[in-house]
Amino acid sequence: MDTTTVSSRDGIPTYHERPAIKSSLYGWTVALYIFVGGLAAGLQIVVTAAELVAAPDSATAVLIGRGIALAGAVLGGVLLILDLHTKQRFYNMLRIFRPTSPMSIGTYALMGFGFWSLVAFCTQLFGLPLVGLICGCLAAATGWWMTTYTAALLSATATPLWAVAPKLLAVRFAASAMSTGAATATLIALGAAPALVLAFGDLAALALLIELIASIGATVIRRRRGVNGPLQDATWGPAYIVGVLMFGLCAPLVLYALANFYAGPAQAMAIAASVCVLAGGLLMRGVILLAGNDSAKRPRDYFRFAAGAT
Amino acid sequence: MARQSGRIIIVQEGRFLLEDDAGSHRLFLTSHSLNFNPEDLRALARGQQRITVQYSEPEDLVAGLAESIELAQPSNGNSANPRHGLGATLRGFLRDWSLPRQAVGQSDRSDAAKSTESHQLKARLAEADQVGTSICAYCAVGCAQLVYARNGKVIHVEGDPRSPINQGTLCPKGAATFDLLNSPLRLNSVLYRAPGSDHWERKPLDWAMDRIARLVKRTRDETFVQKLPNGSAVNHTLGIGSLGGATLDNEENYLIKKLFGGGLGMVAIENQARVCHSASVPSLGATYGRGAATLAQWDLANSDCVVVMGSNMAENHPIAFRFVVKAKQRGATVIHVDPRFTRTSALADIYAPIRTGTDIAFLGGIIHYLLENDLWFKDYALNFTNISTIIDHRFKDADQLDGLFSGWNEEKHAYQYDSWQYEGEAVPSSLAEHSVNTAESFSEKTKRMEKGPPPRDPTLQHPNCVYHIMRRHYARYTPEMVERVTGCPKEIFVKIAEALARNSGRDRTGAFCYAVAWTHHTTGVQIIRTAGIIQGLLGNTGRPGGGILALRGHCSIQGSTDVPTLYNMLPTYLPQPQAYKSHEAFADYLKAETTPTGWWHNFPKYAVSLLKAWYGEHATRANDWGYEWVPKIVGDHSQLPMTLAMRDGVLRGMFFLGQNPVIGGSNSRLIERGLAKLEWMVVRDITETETAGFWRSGQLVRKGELKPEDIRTEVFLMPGSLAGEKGGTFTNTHRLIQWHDKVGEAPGDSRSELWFIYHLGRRLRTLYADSTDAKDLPLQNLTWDYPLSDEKGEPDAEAVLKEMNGYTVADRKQIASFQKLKDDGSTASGAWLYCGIFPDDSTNKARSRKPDGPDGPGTHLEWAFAWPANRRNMYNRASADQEGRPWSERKKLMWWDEARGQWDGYDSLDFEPNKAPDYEPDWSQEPQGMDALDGKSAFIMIADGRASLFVPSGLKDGPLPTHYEPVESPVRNQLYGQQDNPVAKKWEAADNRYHAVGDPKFPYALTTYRLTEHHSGGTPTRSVPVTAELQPEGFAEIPPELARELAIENLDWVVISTARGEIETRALVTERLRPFMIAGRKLYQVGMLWHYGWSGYATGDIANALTAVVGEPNTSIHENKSLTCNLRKGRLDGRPQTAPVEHAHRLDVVIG
Amino acid sequence: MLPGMIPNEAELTAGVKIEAGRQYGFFTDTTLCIGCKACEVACKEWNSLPADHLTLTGMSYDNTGALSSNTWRHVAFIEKVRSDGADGAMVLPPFQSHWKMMSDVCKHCDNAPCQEACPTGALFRTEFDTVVVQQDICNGCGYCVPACPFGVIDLNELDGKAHKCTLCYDRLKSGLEPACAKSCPTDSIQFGELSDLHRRARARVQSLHEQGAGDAYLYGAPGGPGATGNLGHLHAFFLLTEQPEVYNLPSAPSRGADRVLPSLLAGLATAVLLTGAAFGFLLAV
Repeated sequence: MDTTTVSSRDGIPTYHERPAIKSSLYGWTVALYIFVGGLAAGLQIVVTAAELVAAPDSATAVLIGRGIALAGAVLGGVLLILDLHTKQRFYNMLRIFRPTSPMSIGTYALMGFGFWSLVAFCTQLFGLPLVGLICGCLAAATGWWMTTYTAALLSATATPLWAVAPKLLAVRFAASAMSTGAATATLIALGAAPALVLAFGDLAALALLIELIASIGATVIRRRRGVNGPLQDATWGPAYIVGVLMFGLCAPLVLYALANFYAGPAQAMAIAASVCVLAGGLLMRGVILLAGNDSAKRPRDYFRFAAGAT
Repeated sequence: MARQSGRIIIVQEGRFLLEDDAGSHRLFLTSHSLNFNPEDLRALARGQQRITVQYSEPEDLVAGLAESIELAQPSNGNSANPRHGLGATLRGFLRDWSLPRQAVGQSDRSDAAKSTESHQLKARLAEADQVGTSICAYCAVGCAQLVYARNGKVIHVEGDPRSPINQGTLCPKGAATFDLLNSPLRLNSVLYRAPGSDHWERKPLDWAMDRIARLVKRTRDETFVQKLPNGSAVNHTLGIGSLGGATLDNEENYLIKKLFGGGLGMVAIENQARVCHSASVPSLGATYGRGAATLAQWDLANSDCVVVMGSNMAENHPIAFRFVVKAKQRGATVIHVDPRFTRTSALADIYAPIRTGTDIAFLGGIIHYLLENDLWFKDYALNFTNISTIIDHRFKDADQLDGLFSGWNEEKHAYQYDSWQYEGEAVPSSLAEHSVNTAESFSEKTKRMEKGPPPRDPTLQHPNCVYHIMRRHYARYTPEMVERVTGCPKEIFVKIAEALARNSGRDRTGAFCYAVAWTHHTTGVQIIRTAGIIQGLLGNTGRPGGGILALRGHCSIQGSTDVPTLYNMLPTYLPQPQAYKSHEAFADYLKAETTPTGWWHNFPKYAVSLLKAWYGEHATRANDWGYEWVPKIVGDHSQLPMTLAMRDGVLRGMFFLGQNPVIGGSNSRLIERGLAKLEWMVVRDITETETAGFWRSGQLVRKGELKPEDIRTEVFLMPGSLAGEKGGTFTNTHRLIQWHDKVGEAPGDSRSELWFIYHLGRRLRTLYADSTDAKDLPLQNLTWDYPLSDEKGEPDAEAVLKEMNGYTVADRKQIASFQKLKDDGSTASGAWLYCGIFPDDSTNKARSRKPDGPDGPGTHLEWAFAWPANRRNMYNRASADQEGRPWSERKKLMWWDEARGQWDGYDSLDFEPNKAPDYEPDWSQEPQGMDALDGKSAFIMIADGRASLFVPSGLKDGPLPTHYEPVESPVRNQLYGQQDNPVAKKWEAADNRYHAVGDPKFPYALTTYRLTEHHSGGTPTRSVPVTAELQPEGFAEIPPELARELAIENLDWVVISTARGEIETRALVTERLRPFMIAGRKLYQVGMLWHYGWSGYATGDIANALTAVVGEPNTSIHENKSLTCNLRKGRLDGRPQTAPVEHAHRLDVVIG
Repeated sequence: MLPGMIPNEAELTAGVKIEAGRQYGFFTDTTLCIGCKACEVACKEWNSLPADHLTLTGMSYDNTGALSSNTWRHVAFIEKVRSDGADGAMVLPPFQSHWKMMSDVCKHCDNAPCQEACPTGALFRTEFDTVVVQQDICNGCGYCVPACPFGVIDLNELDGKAHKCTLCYDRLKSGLEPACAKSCPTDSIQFGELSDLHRRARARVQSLHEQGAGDAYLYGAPGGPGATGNLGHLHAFFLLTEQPEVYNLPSAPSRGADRVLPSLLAGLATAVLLTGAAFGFLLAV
C-alpha cells in the first residue's frame, strides 16, 4: 500500500514500477510495411528465379509478379513516409548513410529495390527481355536486403522482445518474406502457369518450416531470458499462438504438403494455404511489433534483458 | 483556434516565447506541420518583427502549439519567411547534404552530419546588450542573479558567479525567476471589483489611484482619534490597516511606514515578518543584544558541528545549506532534529525525531547535560555572559512554582518583573522597548548601573547566581525526561549533546540553524532563547563558524523588520510611542527608553534624527521635533488582532502589499469573513491572489456561506513589479543589504510599491493641502520630495536610501557612520542602523560587488553592506579571549593589537576600536553609555555588556526557557503542572475554538510546512508553470501505521478537520513520518502543506483553514507548527474518491 | 551593470575552459543531492521547455516521473527511511542516505545508440563529444526512441521531432557551463572535462568508503556498470549507493548496433538459401 518506497517484487527492484525504457511508436503502418516490403522482395526473387530457369509458360506470371513487386515497393515507400512525424522532411532520409542504422540501410535497400523493380518491369513490358532479366536479378539481389533488414532494425533497439534473439528474428522475417512471396506467386500462377503452382507451394512450405523452427528457437531464448511475457499474456498470447503459429505456420504447412499427394483438391488447398500464409505473415509482423512495445513497458523484462546475461 | 500577436523574445530549438502588446508572455511549440526552422524563428526575433500566431492549446501542457505564423509586416531584409517551395527546399537539402562530405571522408557520426543550425548556434546570452545584477525575489538567502536583456526585454536570469552566497547557483525557485517575471498569469492592468459585483473590470491606473486616495481620506477622516478619553494624545486612526512588506524593498518599506505611520497616523501596519520571524527579535535581542542572525551564511562552512533544528534547511534554504554541505566535506558533524525525516535529514549524520512543539524540552536537556557534565566553555561563559551574575533574592523559579516564575499575577494573567532583576538594580532591556515593567521607577533603579558593575560571583558559589539558578531550573530535563517528552531515544539525544560539546571550545565551533519551526509556537521566543543559552555556554557566539543563523523566509523579511512595517517599532528598533507607557511627551519617551549604560545610551540621537528625516524643517526643538505627530499605539495591533479587527468592523480599509493572508494567515475562513466586512481593500501583487479573489472564488463563497452580491467590499487589484524591474535593496537573512538593478520593464500598468506609495502620498497631500485641522499637520509636514527616475514617475530609490542612511541638515552631506548622528537636530537619519550604507553622494555600498578572492579573509567586506557598520559576524569581540588573543589560530577572527593599541582582524569590529581588553570603567565618575562597559563587554547593546543567559527584562514569559506544551496538545505537560505558556495570547471565540488537551475528537498531532518547490504562500511558485509542475497538488503526509489503521492508501483523498474547519487533500503515505510512544500511548503526527490555494497552476485546499488564532506572548506570532486534528479517509460533501481534482481557476483571469 | 556576459564564465562556475575538440560531460554525485530539482527548472528555463502533466504521482516527491521530450533532467526519489528497522534511521552514514535522490539525464554515451540509429544524421556528436538532435534536420522517424537503452530520448508528437538533453550545446559554444550543473546548489551535478571528472569521481568514492559509506560506486565510468555492452563510457555518469535498477537504470545496457550484422547475415543467409531452394523446386517442374 505504501508505494512511496522502492518496490521490489521477485528480487528485481524497479523505480515505482515505471518503465525503464521507452516503447517505439510503431504500429500497424509499420507492420504492414514490413509485410509488404518482404512480400514484394520475396515475390521479385521467386519470379526472377522462375525466369532464370525459363520455367514453362512462366512469362505472364513473371510480368504480373514484377508488377506486384513494384507496386509493393511504391506502397512501402508511401507507408514509411506516412509513419514519419514530420513528413515534409522525408527527403532527409537520403541526407546521410549510416552503416550503424538498419533504417538507413533499409532506406537505400528500398530505393534500390524500387528502382530496379521499376526498370525491370518497364523494360519487360516494352519487350526488352534481356535487360528486364538483368534488372530483375538486381532487384532480386536488393530484395534479399529487403527481406531481412527490418529484423535487424527491430533487433538493434533496446526493446527486450525484439533484441533478445537478433539472428532468429532475422531468419523468421526473411523466411516469412519468402513464404509470402511464394504464396503470392502461387496465387498468380494458378491462372497463368498452373505447372508452377506446386513448385511455388513447395518453396513456401520450406520457408514456413524454417520460420517455424526459428520461432520455436526464439521462444526458448525468450523464456530463458525471462522476456516472453507479452507473447504469452492475454493481450497478445492468443493472437500469437493461434493466429501466427497455428493458423499462419502449421496450417499452410500441412496444406502445402497435402497438395503434393492429392492432385484433385491441390489447387484449392494451395489457395487456402497461400491465404493462410499471407494473413499469418501480416499478423506475425503486427504481433511482434505491438507485443514488443508492451515488453518495453515492463521494467523487469528490460532489467533481466540488460542484466548482462549475454 | 486562438490567435496572438506580438514579438518573439526567445527562440530555443523549435520553441519560442512571444510577448504580446500588453506585455504578457506565452511559450509556443511549433507544430510538425509548420515548416519553421530555428534559424527562421531567430531571424524573426532578430528583426523584432511583429507576428501573429494561430495556435491550439494541447491537453496537459502549459504552452501553445503554433499551427501557423503570419508576419504582421513584410519581412525587413533578413529571410524571416518560412522556407517553402521546391527550390528553397532543394537548396536547403543540398546545403546540409552529408553524403558528399562522407565521400571525402568526414565521419557520419559527427562532422558529416553537422547542420547549418549547429554551425550558427550560440547562447542567447551572447546577444544581451544589458546585464544587470539583481537579488533573488524569493527567500532571504539573498542569492545574486545576472539579468540579461536584449532590446530592453529580459531574455534570461541566472546565478551571479561572483556572489559569495550562491556562487552562480540557484535553487528551483530562484532558477525560475525568468518565468516568474513572465508568468502567463501575471497581471498587467488594474482590476476593479465594485461592491456587490461578481466580476472584475479593467480600470485605468490613474482612475484607481485617485479613487484609492479619496477612500483613504474618507476613512481616515471618519476614524481619526486625536486624544483618548483620558486626555492623552494619540493622533492615530484604527480604521485603516496595511499588511505586507517582506517581499518589498527597504526603500519601499521605509516610505510605507513614513506615509502610513508618520503621515496618516495609521498604527495597524504589519508585514510577513510578524508571522515569520518576529520571535527572533526578542529572543536573540534579549540574549545577545540584537535580534538577528549572528553570523554570515557562508561562515557555516567554517563550522565543526551544524545543528539544524526548527528548520528544513535543505528544502527551504537550499543555497544556505550549500555551506552546511561544505562544512560536512571539511569533516563537520551535521545534525537534524525534526518531527519529519526530510531532505535535510537525508544529508545529516544524526537525525533525531521529536514530537512537534517539544523543542525546549530537548534543548533544555542539552543545557542540563552541559552543566551537569561540566562540558561548558568556562573562559568564554565566565567572561562574556551573565552566568556569574547574582539575581534578586526574591526570585523564585519554575522549578519551585511548578512551571510559573515569581511575580505571577493571576488576575492580570501577567508577570511583574521586579524579582527577575539583578540583585539591587533593574536592568533595562536591549529590545526596542527598553523600559522595564517594574513597580519601582525604571530610572531610579537602573541608574544604579552607573555606580558599579552588576553583582557577580566569578567563583559561582552564590546560590542565586545565574549558574545555580540554571542548574536548578534544568535539573529535571534529564535524558530520560527528554525521551519521555519528545519521543527521541535518549541515546540519540546524548549523541547530539556530546557532538555539540566535542565541537565547541577554543579550537572548534558549532552553529545552530533554525527557521519558522522554532518561531511558530506560543513558546517560539523561548525556544530560540534556549539555543542562545547553549551557544553562550559553549562559547559559540561571535566566532568563526559559530553562532545562531536565523533562516528567514522572504527576500527582505529582515529588512522589513529593521525598517519595520510593524506596528510597534519605528525604523531600526526604536519603540513606537505607546499611549499606556510613560511616552506622553518627547522628554518622557526619551527618559523611559534611554538606557544609562551600553550602546542604547545613544537612543536620543537616533530618535531626533528620525524625526528630522520625516518632518524636515517642521521638526524643531520647540515642537519636540514633531514627536506628537507620530501616532501612539494603544495595544496589540499585530496581524492576529488585525484579523479580528477586520471581522469586528474596526478596520474599514486595508492595503495588502504583496501579502496573501487567506493562505498565510491563521484561521483562513475567519479572515475571509473579515475581508467581506471591509469597505475597501487594495491588493498589490503580481497575480490574482486568493485574498484578492475571495469574493468570487473564496472558501465561503464556494460553500455558499457568502454570496458575491452580499459582499460590499470594494476591491482594487493592482499589478506590482519585481526585482529586475525596479531598483532597490533587500536585506537578507544575515543582515546583508544588497542592491538589485532595474533591467527590464514590468508588464503594462505594473508599478513598484515605491511608485504606489509616493504617488498615493502626493495625491493625499493635495487632498489635504488646504486643511487647517491639526490632525492633518503630520501629512502636510512630511518630507515628500523625491526625484523621479523615469517617465512613468518612478521615484529614485537611491534618494530614499540616502535619506535612510542620514545626512547633515545644514548642508545635506551624507553621513558615514551612526556614531556621527546627533540629538540637536543637526542630523537626519531615517534608519540609523543602516547609516554607512550611503557614506557619500556617490557611494552606494549595497551595490558593491567585490568578493574576497579564494585567498582572501572570507568575510567579503566589499560585497554589499551589512548592518551594523558592515559587521559580518556580530559580537566578534568574543572571537578573542579575555586578554584579546584569538582563542586559537584555527578560529582567528579579531584580536587586540597591543603595539598599536587597537583591535585588528578580518571582520568589521563590533566593539570600540581602542578599548583595551583590560579596560575597567572608573566607577567613581559614574560612567554612562559605553564608558560603563569594560573591555570584556562583547555584547555592547546589553546594559552590562554580557550575553544574557538569564534575561531580567524584556520577555513577558520568563527569564529562563521552560517547556510548555502547545496550546493544542494531545498530551499533558510531563515537566510541570502548568500545561501551556501561561501568558500565551488567546482569542477564543465561536469562530476560533481551541481543542482541549488530549481531546479524543482530535487525537492526532498536526504540523504544517512547505516544500522546496514552493515559496511561502505559494503565490510566486503556483503561478509559475515550471515550479508548479514539480509539486502540482496539495497533500498530507501520513505514517503507514496510521494509514493502515484508517484504511488509507497512497494518493487516497482524506479529510482533515479541526474545530476551525475541515479540508480535503490527497494522502502521501510515507515512512518519513513515524509514530511516537508518549506517556505510554502511540501518538501519530500528520503533516500538511500550507502553501496551496485555489489559484495558479498548482492547487489544493488551504491548510490555514484548520489553524487557530492564538499568539506567542512577546510577539503575537501564531502557533501553526503544533496543533491537533482528526483525519479520515474520504472527501468533503460526499464526493467520490475517483472524482477528478478541481483545479479551480487554474488559468482563470478572465475579465467579466 | 555589466557590459555583457562574463567571458568564459565556466572558468568561474566550473573551473574549466570550454574548447572544441575536448570531451565534456556530467558527474552526478547522488550523495550530495538534496532533491531540490533546481536542475529540472534551470534546464526548462534555459531551453524554454514547457511544463506538463500537472498531477500528483504519489511517487514520493517525484511528480516529473521520467525524462521526456519536455523534461531533460529528472530527479528520482526513493524512500528507504525504515529499511533498517521500524524505528527508522537516526545515526546515518555521511552525506545522502535513506531517502535517495538522483538527478537523471541523457548519458551522452560514447557509442550512442540513438545517434547510431538516426537515419538522417539529425543526431550527431558535437565538437564537445556530446550527442545532440539537430532540430533543422530531424524528420521524426522515431527510431532513436526505442534505440535508447536508458529510455531518455523522446519524440514529441506535437512538433514531430525527437528531443533530449543537448548538454547545453549552445551554452558550451559560448563558454557557459550547462544550466543544470551551474544551478546545482550542492554541486551534486558537476560539469567538466571527462578525464578530470573521472579522477574526481574515483577520489570521491574512495573518501566515501573511508568515511563509512561502503556502498558508493560509479555508474557509467569506464569499465563500471552502465558502461557495458560496447556503449563505451557514459559522458554523464553517476555516483550511486543502491543497485542501478533502484534508480531505474539497467546494470548492463548494450549497444544495439552490435546486433545489426549478426541479424543481417542470418537473414541474408536464409533468403539466399531459400532462393537456391526456389531454383531447385523450379528446375524440378
